[in-house]
Amino acid sequence: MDKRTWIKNEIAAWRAEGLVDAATAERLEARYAAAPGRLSWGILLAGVFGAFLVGLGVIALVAANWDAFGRAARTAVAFAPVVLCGGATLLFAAKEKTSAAVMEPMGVLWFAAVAAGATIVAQTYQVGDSVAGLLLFIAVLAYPALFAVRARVATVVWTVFAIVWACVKADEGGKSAVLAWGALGGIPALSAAAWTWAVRCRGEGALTASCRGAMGLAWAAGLPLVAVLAMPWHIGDDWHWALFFGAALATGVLERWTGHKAWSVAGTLVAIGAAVPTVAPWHHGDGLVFLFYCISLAYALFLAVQGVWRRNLWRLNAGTLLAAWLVLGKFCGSDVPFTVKGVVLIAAGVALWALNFWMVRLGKREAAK
Amino acid sequence: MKTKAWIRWAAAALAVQLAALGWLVACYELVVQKGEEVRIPCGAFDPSEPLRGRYLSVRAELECRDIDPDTPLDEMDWKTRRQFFRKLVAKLEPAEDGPASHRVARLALHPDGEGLWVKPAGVWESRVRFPGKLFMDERLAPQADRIFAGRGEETEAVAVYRAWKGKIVITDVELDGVSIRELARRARDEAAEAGGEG
Repeated sequence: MDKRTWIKNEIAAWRAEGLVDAATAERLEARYAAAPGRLSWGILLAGVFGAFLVGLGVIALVAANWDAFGRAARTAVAFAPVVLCGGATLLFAAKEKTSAAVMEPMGVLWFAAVAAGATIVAQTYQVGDSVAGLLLFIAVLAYPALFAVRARVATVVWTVFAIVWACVKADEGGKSAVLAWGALGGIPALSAAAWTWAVRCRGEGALTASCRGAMGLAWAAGLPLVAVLAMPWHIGDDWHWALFFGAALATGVLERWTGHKAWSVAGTLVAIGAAVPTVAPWHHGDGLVFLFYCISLAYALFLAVQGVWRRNLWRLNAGTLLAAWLVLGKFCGSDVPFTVKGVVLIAAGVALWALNFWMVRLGKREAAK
Repeated sequence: MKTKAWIRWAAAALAVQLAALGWLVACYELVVQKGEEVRIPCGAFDPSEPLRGRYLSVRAELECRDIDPDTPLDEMDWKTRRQFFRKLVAKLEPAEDGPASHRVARLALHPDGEGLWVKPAGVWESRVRFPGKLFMDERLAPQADRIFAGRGEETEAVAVYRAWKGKIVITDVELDGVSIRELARRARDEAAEAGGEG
Protein backbone atom coordinates (compact mmCIF):
# COMPACT_ATOMS: atom_id res chain seq x y z
CA MET A 1 0.00 0.00 0.00
CA ASP A 2 1.45 3.37 -0.96
CA LYS A 3 1.46 6.39 1.37
CA ARG A 4 -1.35 8.17 -0.45
CA THR A 5 -3.72 5.18 -0.17
CA TRP A 6 -2.74 4.78 3.48
CA ILE A 7 -3.50 8.42 4.37
CA LYS A 8 -6.80 8.23 2.39
CA ASN A 9 -7.85 5.19 4.45
CA GLU A 10 -6.73 6.87 7.67
CA ILE A 11 -8.73 10.03 6.93
CA ALA A 12 -11.79 7.88 6.18
CA ALA A 13 -11.26 6.10 9.53
CA TRP A 14 -10.90 9.42 11.41
CA ARG A 15 -14.11 10.64 9.84
CA ALA A 16 -15.93 7.43 10.75
CA GLU A 17 -14.68 7.70 14.32
CA GLY A 18 -15.74 11.33 14.49
CA LEU A 19 -12.22 12.66 15.02
CA VAL A 20 -12.58 15.06 12.08
CA ASP A 21 -15.67 16.53 10.45
CA ALA A 22 -16.57 16.15 6.77
CA ALA A 23 -15.15 19.56 5.79
CA THR A 24 -11.80 18.91 7.49
CA ALA A 25 -11.62 15.42 5.99
CA GLU A 26 -12.20 16.88 2.51
CA ARG A 27 -9.54 19.51 3.07
CA LEU A 28 -7.09 16.88 4.27
CA GLU A 29 -7.83 14.60 1.31
CA ALA A 30 -7.39 17.51 -1.09
CA ARG A 31 -4.08 18.40 0.57
CA TYR A 32 -2.61 14.91 0.24
CA ALA A 33 -4.08 14.32 -3.21
CA ALA A 34 -2.51 17.48 -4.59
CA ALA A 35 0.81 17.39 -2.83
CA PRO A 36 2.46 14.36 -4.41
CA GLY A 37 4.05 15.72 -7.52
CA ARG A 38 6.82 13.36 -6.48
CA LEU A 39 7.73 10.31 -8.45
CA SER A 40 7.98 6.92 -6.80
CA TRP A 41 11.32 5.15 -6.42
CA GLY A 42 10.21 2.55 -8.94
CA ILE A 43 9.54 5.13 -11.63
CA LEU A 44 12.81 6.89 -10.86
CA LEU A 45 14.74 3.65 -11.17
CA ALA A 46 12.91 2.75 -14.36
CA GLY A 47 13.81 6.15 -15.76
CA VAL A 48 17.45 5.68 -14.85
CA PHE A 49 17.65 2.05 -16.04
CA GLY A 50 15.74 2.80 -19.22
CA ALA A 51 18.11 5.69 -19.90
CA PHE A 52 21.02 3.36 -19.09
CA LEU A 53 19.84 0.79 -21.66
CA VAL A 54 19.21 3.45 -24.28
CA GLY A 55 22.68 4.87 -23.46
CA LEU A 56 24.20 1.41 -23.94
CA GLY A 57 22.41 1.16 -27.26
CA VAL A 58 23.83 4.51 -28.36
CA ILE A 59 27.30 3.40 -27.21
CA ALA A 60 26.92 0.19 -29.25
CA LEU A 61 25.99 2.26 -32.30
CA VAL A 62 29.00 4.56 -31.70
CA ALA A 63 31.22 1.52 -31.06
CA ALA A 64 30.28 0.22 -34.51
CA ASN A 65 32.37 3.09 -35.89
CA TRP A 66 34.71 3.54 -32.91
CA ASP A 67 38.00 3.02 -34.78
CA ALA A 68 37.03 5.78 -37.23
CA PHE A 69 37.18 8.37 -34.41
CA GLY A 70 40.39 10.19 -33.59
CA ARG A 71 41.71 10.87 -30.09
CA ALA A 72 40.03 14.29 -29.93
CA ALA A 73 36.60 12.88 -30.83
CA ARG A 74 36.96 10.10 -28.25
CA THR A 75 37.93 12.66 -25.61
CA ALA A 76 34.84 14.69 -26.45
CA VAL A 77 32.71 11.53 -26.09
CA ALA A 78 34.37 10.88 -22.68
CA PHE A 79 33.90 14.42 -21.34
CA ALA A 80 30.37 15.01 -22.68
CA PRO A 81 28.39 12.88 -20.15
CA VAL A 82 30.33 14.34 -17.19
CA VAL A 83 29.73 17.91 -18.39
CA LEU A 84 26.05 17.15 -19.10
CA CYS A 85 25.48 15.62 -15.64
CA GLY A 86 27.34 18.42 -13.85
CA GLY A 87 25.56 21.05 -15.94
CA ALA A 88 22.16 19.47 -15.32
CA THR A 89 22.82 19.36 -11.56
CA LEU A 90 23.82 23.04 -11.57
CA LEU A 91 20.69 23.88 -13.56
CA PHE A 92 18.43 21.93 -11.18
CA ALA A 93 20.14 23.54 -8.17
CA ALA A 94 19.70 27.03 -9.67
CA LYS A 95 15.99 26.30 -10.18
CA GLU A 96 15.83 24.93 -6.61
CA LYS A 97 14.75 21.47 -7.82
CA THR A 98 16.94 19.62 -5.35
CA SER A 99 14.47 17.01 -4.07
CA ALA A 100 15.51 13.36 -3.82
CA ALA A 101 13.23 12.64 -6.78
CA VAL A 102 15.57 14.67 -8.99
CA MET A 103 18.93 14.24 -7.29
CA GLU A 104 18.90 10.44 -6.70
CA PRO A 105 18.83 9.50 -10.41
CA MET A 106 21.16 12.43 -11.07
CA GLY A 107 23.69 10.93 -8.64
CA VAL A 108 23.53 7.51 -10.34
CA LEU A 109 23.89 9.06 -13.78
CA TRP A 110 26.77 11.30 -12.69
CA PHE A 111 28.58 8.35 -11.12
CA ALA A 112 28.12 6.31 -14.30
CA ALA A 113 29.27 9.28 -16.41
CA VAL A 114 32.47 9.65 -14.37
CA ALA A 115 33.18 5.91 -14.60
CA ALA A 116 32.55 5.88 -18.36
CA GLY A 117 34.56 9.08 -18.94
CA ALA A 118 37.57 7.88 -16.93
CA THR A 119 37.48 4.49 -18.66
CA ILE A 120 37.35 5.98 -22.16
CA VAL A 121 40.17 8.43 -21.37
CA ALA A 122 42.27 5.61 -19.84
CA GLN A 123 41.63 3.43 -22.90
CA THR A 124 42.30 6.16 -25.46
CA TYR A 125 45.42 7.51 -23.74
CA GLN A 126 46.84 4.16 -22.58
CA VAL A 127 46.71 5.39 -18.97
CA GLY A 128 47.60 3.19 -16.03
CA ASP A 129 48.61 -0.39 -15.75
CA SER A 130 46.43 -1.95 -13.05
CA VAL A 131 42.64 -2.26 -12.84
CA ALA A 132 42.81 -1.47 -9.10
CA GLY A 133 44.39 1.94 -9.81
CA LEU A 134 41.63 2.82 -12.26
CA LEU A 135 38.93 1.69 -9.79
CA LEU A 136 40.43 3.91 -7.09
CA PHE A 137 40.70 6.84 -9.53
CA ILE A 138 37.00 6.49 -10.46
CA ALA A 139 35.95 6.12 -6.79
CA VAL A 140 37.91 9.19 -5.67
CA LEU A 141 36.74 11.25 -8.64
CA ALA A 142 33.07 10.30 -8.26
CA TYR A 143 32.80 10.95 -4.53
CA PRO A 144 32.64 14.79 -4.68
CA ALA A 145 29.71 14.50 -7.10
CA LEU A 146 27.87 12.08 -4.80
CA PHE A 147 28.49 14.39 -1.87
CA ALA A 148 27.30 17.38 -3.90
CA VAL A 149 23.99 15.79 -4.90
CA ARG A 150 23.48 13.84 -1.61
CA ALA A 151 22.60 10.70 -3.59
CA ARG A 152 21.93 7.71 -1.32
CA VAL A 153 21.63 4.94 -3.93
CA ALA A 154 24.81 6.04 -5.67
CA THR A 155 26.64 6.29 -2.33
CA VAL A 156 25.65 2.71 -1.52
CA VAL A 157 26.91 1.60 -4.96
CA TRP A 158 30.10 3.58 -4.28
CA THR A 159 30.70 1.33 -1.24
CA VAL A 160 30.80 -1.66 -3.64
CA PHE A 161 33.42 0.16 -5.72
CA ALA A 162 35.56 0.74 -2.66
CA ILE A 163 35.17 -2.92 -1.61
CA VAL A 164 36.10 -4.20 -5.09
CA TRP A 165 39.15 -1.91 -5.17
CA ALA A 166 40.25 -3.16 -1.75
CA CYS A 167 39.78 -6.80 -2.83
CA VAL A 168 41.69 -6.39 -6.10
CA LYS A 169 44.51 -4.61 -4.28
CA ALA A 170 44.63 -7.18 -1.48
CA ASP A 171 44.69 -9.94 -4.10
CA GLU A 172 47.57 -8.25 -5.98
CA GLY A 173 49.65 -8.16 -2.78
CA GLY A 174 52.54 -5.76 -2.19
CA LYS A 175 52.93 -2.76 0.07
CA SER A 176 49.51 -1.15 -0.48
CA ALA A 177 47.77 -4.48 0.21
CA VAL A 178 47.99 -3.59 3.92
CA LEU A 179 45.93 -0.48 3.20
CA ALA A 180 43.50 -2.56 1.15
CA TRP A 181 43.07 -5.14 3.94
CA GLY A 182 42.53 -2.24 6.35
CA ALA A 183 39.87 -0.82 4.04
CA LEU A 184 38.16 -4.22 3.72
CA GLY A 185 37.85 -4.54 7.48
CA GLY A 186 37.21 -0.83 7.92
CA ILE A 187 34.27 -0.49 5.53
CA PRO A 188 31.87 -2.69 7.56
CA ALA A 189 33.23 -1.32 10.85
CA LEU A 190 32.99 2.32 9.77
CA SER A 191 29.51 1.92 8.30
CA ALA A 192 28.37 0.32 11.58
CA ALA A 193 29.88 3.21 13.53
CA ALA A 194 28.31 5.73 11.15
CA TRP A 195 24.94 4.07 11.57
CA THR A 196 25.17 4.18 15.36
CA TRP A 197 26.27 7.80 15.21
CA ALA A 198 23.46 8.73 12.84
CA VAL A 199 20.83 7.03 15.03
CA ARG A 200 22.09 8.75 18.17
CA CYS A 201 22.59 12.22 16.72
CA ARG A 202 20.02 12.63 13.98
CA GLY A 203 17.35 10.02 14.60
CA GLU A 204 15.49 8.70 11.54
CA GLY A 205 16.41 10.40 8.33
CA ALA A 206 18.19 10.22 5.02
CA LEU A 207 21.64 9.91 6.59
CA THR A 208 20.54 7.05 8.86
CA ALA A 209 18.91 5.25 5.95
CA SER A 210 21.98 5.60 3.74
CA CYS A 211 24.28 4.49 6.58
CA ARG A 212 22.07 1.43 7.12
CA GLY A 213 22.08 0.68 3.41
CA ALA A 214 25.87 1.03 3.25
CA MET A 215 26.23 -1.17 6.31
CA GLY A 216 23.94 -3.87 4.92
CA LEU A 217 25.83 -3.82 1.66
CA ALA A 218 29.23 -3.80 3.34
CA TRP A 219 28.29 -6.87 5.39
CA ALA A 220 26.50 -8.69 2.64
CA ALA A 221 29.09 -8.03 -0.09
CA GLY A 222 32.22 -7.30 1.91
CA LEU A 223 32.23 -10.28 4.26
CA PRO A 224 31.92 -13.01 1.56
CA LEU A 225 34.76 -11.28 -0.32
CA VAL A 226 36.91 -11.30 2.81
CA ALA A 227 35.99 -14.97 3.31
CA VAL A 228 36.98 -15.81 -0.27
CA LEU A 229 40.32 -13.99 0.02
CA ALA A 230 41.26 -15.04 3.53
CA MET A 231 40.08 -18.67 3.37
CA PRO A 232 43.06 -20.94 4.09
CA TRP A 233 41.76 -23.67 1.77
CA HIS A 234 40.87 -23.27 -1.89
CA ILE A 235 37.29 -23.57 -3.04
CA GLY A 236 36.38 -23.60 -6.72
CA ASP A 237 35.92 -20.10 -8.17
CA ASP A 238 32.38 -20.98 -9.25
CA TRP A 239 31.38 -21.61 -5.63
CA HIS A 240 32.10 -17.93 -4.81
CA TRP A 241 28.65 -17.20 -6.26
CA ALA A 242 27.10 -19.52 -3.69
CA LEU A 243 28.77 -17.45 -0.95
CA PHE A 244 27.28 -14.22 -2.28
CA PHE A 245 23.80 -15.69 -2.75
CA GLY A 246 24.07 -17.07 0.79
CA ALA A 247 25.15 -13.69 2.21
CA ALA A 248 22.29 -11.99 0.37
CA LEU A 249 19.85 -14.48 1.87
CA ALA A 250 21.30 -13.92 5.35
CA THR A 251 20.87 -10.17 4.89
CA GLY A 252 17.24 -10.74 3.94
CA VAL A 253 16.77 -12.77 7.14
CA LEU A 254 18.39 -9.92 9.12
CA GLU A 255 15.75 -7.59 7.70
CA ARG A 256 13.07 -9.78 9.31
CA TRP A 257 15.00 -9.73 12.56
CA THR A 258 15.84 -6.02 12.71
CA GLY A 259 12.80 -4.75 10.83
CA HIS A 260 14.92 -2.41 8.70
CA LYS A 261 14.05 -2.44 5.01
CA ALA A 262 17.52 -1.17 4.08
CA TRP A 263 18.93 -4.64 4.86
CA SER A 264 16.52 -6.27 2.43
CA VAL A 265 17.44 -3.71 -0.25
CA ALA A 266 21.13 -4.42 0.41
CA GLY A 267 20.51 -8.19 0.19
CA THR A 268 18.66 -7.74 -3.10
CA LEU A 269 21.50 -5.59 -4.46
CA VAL A 270 24.10 -8.20 -3.46
CA ALA A 271 22.09 -11.04 -5.03
CA ILE A 272 21.80 -8.94 -8.20
CA GLY A 273 25.55 -8.25 -7.98
CA ALA A 274 26.22 -11.99 -7.71
CA ALA A 275 23.88 -12.72 -10.61
CA VAL A 276 25.33 -10.11 -12.98
CA PRO A 277 28.69 -11.86 -13.73
CA THR A 278 27.03 -15.23 -14.45
CA VAL A 279 26.42 -13.87 -17.95
CA ALA A 280 30.17 -14.28 -18.70
CA PRO A 281 30.98 -16.64 -21.61
CA TRP A 282 30.74 -20.36 -20.79
CA HIS A 283 33.44 -22.80 -21.67
CA HIS A 284 33.52 -26.57 -21.94
CA GLY A 285 32.79 -28.15 -18.55
CA ASP A 286 31.17 -25.04 -17.06
CA GLY A 287 28.15 -26.93 -15.74
CA LEU A 288 28.21 -25.13 -12.40
CA VAL A 289 28.41 -21.71 -14.09
CA PHE A 290 25.40 -22.63 -16.22
CA LEU A 291 23.53 -23.71 -13.06
CA PHE A 292 24.21 -20.32 -11.40
CA TYR A 293 23.13 -18.57 -14.62
CA CYS A 294 19.81 -20.45 -14.45
CA ILE A 295 19.45 -19.60 -10.73
CA SER A 296 20.15 -15.93 -11.57
CA LEU A 297 17.55 -15.95 -14.34
CA ALA A 298 15.01 -17.58 -12.01
CA TYR A 299 15.82 -15.00 -9.32
CA ALA A 300 15.34 -12.16 -11.84
CA LEU A 301 11.92 -13.51 -12.83
CA PHE A 302 11.03 -14.01 -9.15
CA LEU A 303 11.88 -10.35 -8.44
CA ALA A 304 9.83 -9.13 -11.40
CA VAL A 305 6.81 -11.28 -10.45
CA GLN A 306 7.15 -10.19 -6.81
CA GLY A 307 7.21 -6.58 -8.05
CA VAL A 308 3.95 -7.02 -10.01
CA TRP A 309 2.33 -8.98 -7.14
CA ARG A 310 3.20 -6.36 -4.52
CA ARG A 311 2.76 -3.43 -6.96
CA ASN A 312 6.36 -2.58 -6.13
CA LEU A 313 8.01 -0.85 -9.06
CA TRP A 314 11.48 -1.01 -7.49
CA ARG A 315 11.43 -4.83 -7.46
CA LEU A 316 9.72 -5.06 -10.83
CA ASN A 317 12.38 -2.89 -12.42
CA ALA A 318 15.27 -4.61 -10.66
CA GLY A 319 13.97 -8.02 -11.82
CA THR A 320 13.22 -6.85 -15.35
CA LEU A 321 16.60 -5.17 -15.66
CA LEU A 322 18.45 -8.23 -14.34
CA ALA A 323 16.55 -10.53 -16.71
CA ALA A 324 17.26 -8.12 -19.56
CA TRP A 325 20.94 -8.05 -18.60
CA LEU A 326 21.18 -11.86 -18.46
CA VAL A 327 19.45 -12.34 -21.80
CA LEU A 328 20.89 -9.29 -23.59
CA GLY A 329 24.36 -10.06 -22.17
CA LYS A 330 24.34 -13.40 -23.99
CA PHE A 331 22.92 -11.68 -27.06
CA CYS A 332 25.63 -8.97 -27.01
CA GLY A 333 28.35 -11.62 -26.62
CA SER A 334 27.21 -13.17 -29.89
CA ASP A 335 28.58 -12.27 -33.34
CA VAL A 336 25.55 -10.18 -34.29
CA PRO A 337 26.63 -6.79 -35.82
CA PHE A 338 26.93 -3.88 -33.37
CA THR A 339 24.25 -1.89 -35.23
CA VAL A 340 21.69 -4.66 -34.57
CA LYS A 341 22.84 -4.86 -30.92
CA GLY A 342 22.38 -1.08 -30.58
CA VAL A 343 18.85 -1.19 -32.00
CA VAL A 344 17.87 -4.13 -29.72
CA LEU A 345 19.25 -2.37 -26.62
CA ILE A 346 17.37 0.84 -27.44
CA ALA A 347 14.20 -1.23 -27.94
CA ALA A 348 14.76 -2.89 -24.53
CA GLY A 349 15.13 0.54 -22.87
CA VAL A 350 11.92 1.78 -24.49
CA ALA A 351 10.16 -1.46 -23.49
CA LEU A 352 11.19 -0.89 -19.85
CA TRP A 353 9.71 2.60 -19.93
CA ALA A 354 6.52 1.21 -21.52
CA LEU A 355 6.27 -1.50 -18.85
CA ASN A 356 6.48 1.15 -16.13
CA PHE A 357 3.92 3.31 -17.88
CA TRP A 358 1.58 0.30 -17.92
CA MET A 359 2.25 -0.41 -14.21
CA VAL A 360 1.53 3.21 -13.23
CA ARG A 361 -1.73 3.22 -15.23
CA LEU A 362 -2.72 -0.10 -13.66
CA GLY A 363 -2.00 1.30 -10.19
CA LYS A 364 -4.05 4.44 -10.89
CA ARG A 365 -6.94 2.38 -12.21
CA GLU A 366 -6.92 0.19 -9.11
CA ALA A 367 -6.70 3.26 -6.84
CA ALA A 368 -9.69 4.81 -8.63
CA LYS A 369 -11.74 1.66 -7.98
CA MET B 1 21.02 22.73 1.90
CA LYS B 2 20.72 26.23 0.47
CA THR B 3 20.74 26.84 -3.28
CA LYS B 4 24.09 28.62 -3.22
CA ALA B 5 25.69 25.74 -1.32
CA TRP B 6 24.26 23.21 -3.84
CA ILE B 7 25.65 25.21 -6.72
CA ARG B 8 29.02 25.66 -5.02
CA TRP B 9 29.46 21.94 -4.25
CA ALA B 10 28.23 20.75 -7.64
CA ALA B 11 30.43 23.25 -9.47
CA ALA B 12 33.46 22.27 -7.37
CA ALA B 13 32.82 18.54 -8.02
CA LEU B 14 32.49 19.14 -11.76
CA ALA B 15 35.63 21.30 -11.83
CA VAL B 16 37.67 18.65 -9.98
CA GLN B 17 36.47 15.90 -12.33
CA LEU B 18 37.16 17.85 -15.50
CA ALA B 19 40.57 18.95 -14.20
CA ALA B 20 41.56 15.37 -13.32
CA LEU B 21 40.44 13.94 -16.66
CA GLY B 22 42.00 16.89 -18.48
CA TRP B 23 45.26 16.31 -16.63
CA LEU B 24 45.41 12.71 -17.89
CA VAL B 25 44.79 13.85 -21.45
CA ALA B 26 47.30 16.73 -21.22
CA CYS B 27 50.04 14.50 -19.76
CA TYR B 28 49.73 12.04 -22.66
CA GLU B 29 49.40 14.69 -25.38
CA LEU B 30 52.43 16.65 -24.10
CA VAL B 31 54.61 13.53 -24.12
CA VAL B 32 53.35 12.53 -27.58
CA GLN B 33 53.78 16.02 -29.06
CA LYS B 34 57.08 16.99 -27.44
CA GLY B 35 58.65 13.63 -26.69
CA GLU B 36 61.41 11.74 -28.43
CA GLU B 37 60.44 8.59 -30.32
CA VAL B 38 61.74 5.35 -28.79
CA ARG B 39 61.37 2.04 -30.64
CA ILE B 40 61.86 -1.25 -28.81
CA PRO B 41 61.50 -4.80 -30.25
CA CYS B 42 58.51 -6.54 -28.75
CA GLY B 43 56.19 -9.49 -28.61
CA ALA B 44 52.42 -9.11 -28.15
CA PHE B 45 49.16 -10.97 -27.61
CA ASP B 46 45.53 -10.00 -27.07
CA PRO B 47 43.93 -10.27 -23.62
CA SER B 48 41.15 -8.08 -22.20
CA GLU B 49 40.23 -6.43 -18.91
CA PRO B 50 36.80 -5.66 -17.49
CA LEU B 51 36.96 -1.85 -17.54
CA ARG B 52 39.02 -0.80 -20.54
CA GLY B 53 38.28 -3.74 -22.82
CA ARG B 54 40.68 -5.46 -25.18
CA TYR B 55 44.29 -4.53 -25.55
CA LEU B 56 47.54 -5.80 -26.99
CA SER B 57 49.75 -6.93 -24.13
CA VAL B 58 53.13 -5.77 -25.37
CA ARG B 59 56.31 -7.24 -23.98
CA ALA B 60 59.08 -4.72 -24.66
CA GLU B 61 62.24 -5.13 -22.62
CA LEU B 62 65.83 -3.93 -22.74
CA GLU B 63 68.88 -5.11 -20.86
CA CYS B 64 70.99 -2.94 -18.56
CA ARG B 65 73.64 -4.01 -16.07
CA ASP B 66 74.77 -0.52 -15.13
CA ILE B 67 73.20 -0.04 -11.67
CA ASP B 68 74.82 2.18 -9.04
CA PRO B 69 77.85 0.07 -7.94
CA ASP B 70 77.48 1.21 -4.31
CA THR B 71 74.07 -0.49 -4.01
CA PRO B 72 74.47 -3.56 -1.73
CA LEU B 73 72.21 -5.76 -3.89
CA ASP B 74 73.68 -8.99 -2.48
CA GLU B 75 72.78 -8.02 1.08
CA MET B 76 69.14 -7.28 0.26
CA ASP B 77 66.43 -9.86 0.91
CA TRP B 78 63.94 -10.64 -1.86
CA LYS B 79 61.33 -8.12 -0.69
CA THR B 80 63.79 -5.21 -0.26
CA ARG B 81 65.31 -6.07 -3.63
CA ARG B 82 61.86 -5.92 -5.29
CA GLN B 83 61.10 -2.55 -3.68
CA PHE B 84 64.50 -1.22 -4.74
CA PHE B 85 64.00 -2.24 -8.38
CA ARG B 86 60.54 -0.65 -8.38
CA LYS B 87 62.03 2.76 -7.62
CA LEU B 88 64.62 2.79 -10.40
CA VAL B 89 64.58 5.20 -13.33
CA ALA B 90 66.29 4.47 -16.65
CA LYS B 91 68.51 6.64 -18.82
CA LEU B 92 67.89 6.09 -22.53
CA GLU B 93 70.54 6.74 -25.16
CA PRO B 94 70.36 6.22 -28.92
CA ALA B 95 71.45 2.69 -29.84
CA GLU B 96 74.17 2.36 -32.43
CA ASP B 97 72.99 -0.94 -33.90
CA GLY B 98 70.19 -3.50 -33.56
CA PRO B 99 66.43 -3.16 -34.03
CA ALA B 100 65.92 -0.90 -30.98
CA SER B 101 66.28 2.85 -31.49
CA HIS B 102 67.55 3.29 -27.91
CA ARG B 103 69.39 1.35 -25.24
CA VAL B 104 69.20 1.68 -21.46
CA ALA B 105 72.52 3.26 -20.57
CA ARG B 106 72.05 3.43 -16.81
CA LEU B 107 69.65 2.62 -13.95
CA ALA B 108 69.53 4.85 -10.88
CA LEU B 109 67.27 5.82 -8.01
CA HIS B 110 67.10 9.43 -9.24
CA PRO B 111 67.90 11.06 -12.60
CA ASP B 112 71.62 11.56 -12.47
CA GLY B 113 72.71 14.34 -14.83
CA GLU B 114 71.49 15.29 -18.31
CA GLY B 115 69.88 12.91 -20.79
CA LEU B 116 66.57 11.18 -21.50
CA TRP B 117 65.51 9.70 -18.14
CA VAL B 118 62.24 7.77 -17.91
CA LYS B 119 60.33 5.78 -15.33
CA PRO B 120 59.97 2.26 -16.78
CA ALA B 121 56.99 0.00 -16.07
CA GLY B 122 59.24 -2.33 -14.10
CA VAL B 123 62.81 -3.43 -13.50
CA TRP B 124 63.93 -6.86 -12.36
CA GLU B 125 67.65 -7.55 -12.08
CA SER B 126 69.03 -6.44 -15.45
CA ARG B 127 65.76 -6.47 -17.38
CA VAL B 128 63.97 -3.15 -17.89
CA ARG B 129 60.28 -3.45 -18.91
CA PHE B 130 58.39 -0.65 -20.68
CA PRO B 131 54.62 0.13 -20.57
CA GLY B 132 52.85 -2.82 -22.13
CA LYS B 133 49.14 -2.16 -22.64
CA LEU B 134 48.06 -0.88 -26.04
CA PHE B 135 44.28 -0.55 -25.84
CA MET B 136 42.57 -1.17 -29.15
CA ASP B 137 39.17 -1.23 -30.77
CA GLU B 138 37.23 -4.31 -29.59
CA ARG B 139 37.03 -5.80 -33.09
CA LEU B 140 40.54 -4.88 -34.21
CA ALA B 141 42.36 -6.45 -31.23
CA PRO B 142 41.62 -10.10 -32.18
CA GLN B 143 42.73 -9.33 -35.77
CA ALA B 144 45.92 -7.77 -34.41
CA ASP B 145 46.49 -10.87 -32.26
CA ARG B 146 46.09 -13.15 -35.30
CA ILE B 147 48.43 -10.99 -37.40
CA PHE B 148 51.02 -11.03 -34.63
CA ALA B 149 50.79 -14.78 -34.13
CA GLY B 150 51.02 -15.45 -37.88
CA ARG B 151 53.90 -13.11 -38.66
CA GLY B 152 57.06 -14.51 -40.28
CA GLU B 153 60.33 -14.90 -38.41
CA GLU B 154 61.89 -12.12 -40.47
CA THR B 155 59.15 -9.63 -39.59
CA GLU B 156 60.41 -6.91 -37.30
CA ALA B 157 57.98 -6.11 -34.48
CA VAL B 158 58.59 -2.93 -32.51
CA ALA B 159 56.67 -1.09 -29.81
CA VAL B 160 56.69 2.66 -30.50
CA TYR B 161 56.95 4.95 -27.47
CA ARG B 162 57.33 8.66 -26.84
CA ALA B 163 59.48 9.80 -23.94
CA TRP B 164 59.58 13.27 -22.36
CA LYS B 165 60.49 14.66 -18.96
CA GLY B 166 60.64 11.33 -17.14
CA LYS B 167 57.48 9.91 -18.73
CA ILE B 168 57.24 7.26 -21.43
CA VAL B 169 53.96 6.37 -23.16
CA ILE B 170 53.16 3.74 -25.76
CA THR B 171 51.67 5.05 -29.00
CA ASP B 172 51.70 2.11 -31.37
CA VAL B 173 53.07 -1.29 -32.33
CA GLU B 174 54.54 -1.68 -35.81
CA LEU B 175 55.28 -4.70 -37.97
CA ASP B 176 57.94 -3.90 -40.58
CA GLY B 177 57.18 -0.21 -40.13
CA VAL B 178 53.39 -0.49 -40.56
CA SER B 179 51.03 0.25 -37.66
CA ILE B 180 49.32 -2.85 -36.20
CA ARG B 181 46.05 -0.88 -36.15
CA GLU B 182 46.34 -0.25 -39.88
CA LEU B 183 47.17 -3.91 -40.56
CA ALA B 184 44.24 -5.08 -38.41
CA ARG B 185 41.89 -2.66 -40.16
CA ARG B 186 43.01 -3.95 -43.58
CA ALA B 187 42.56 -7.58 -42.46
CA ARG B 188 39.07 -6.78 -41.15
CA ASP B 189 38.05 -5.05 -44.39
CA GLU B 190 39.44 -7.92 -46.47
CA ALA B 191 37.55 -10.44 -44.31
CA ALA B 192 34.35 -8.38 -44.71
CA GLU B 193 34.82 -8.21 -48.49
CA ALA B 194 35.48 -11.94 -48.71
CA GLY B 195 32.36 -12.57 -46.61
CA GLY B 196 30.34 -10.29 -48.87
CA GLU B 197 31.55 -12.02 -52.00
CA GLY B 198 30.95 -15.46 -50.45
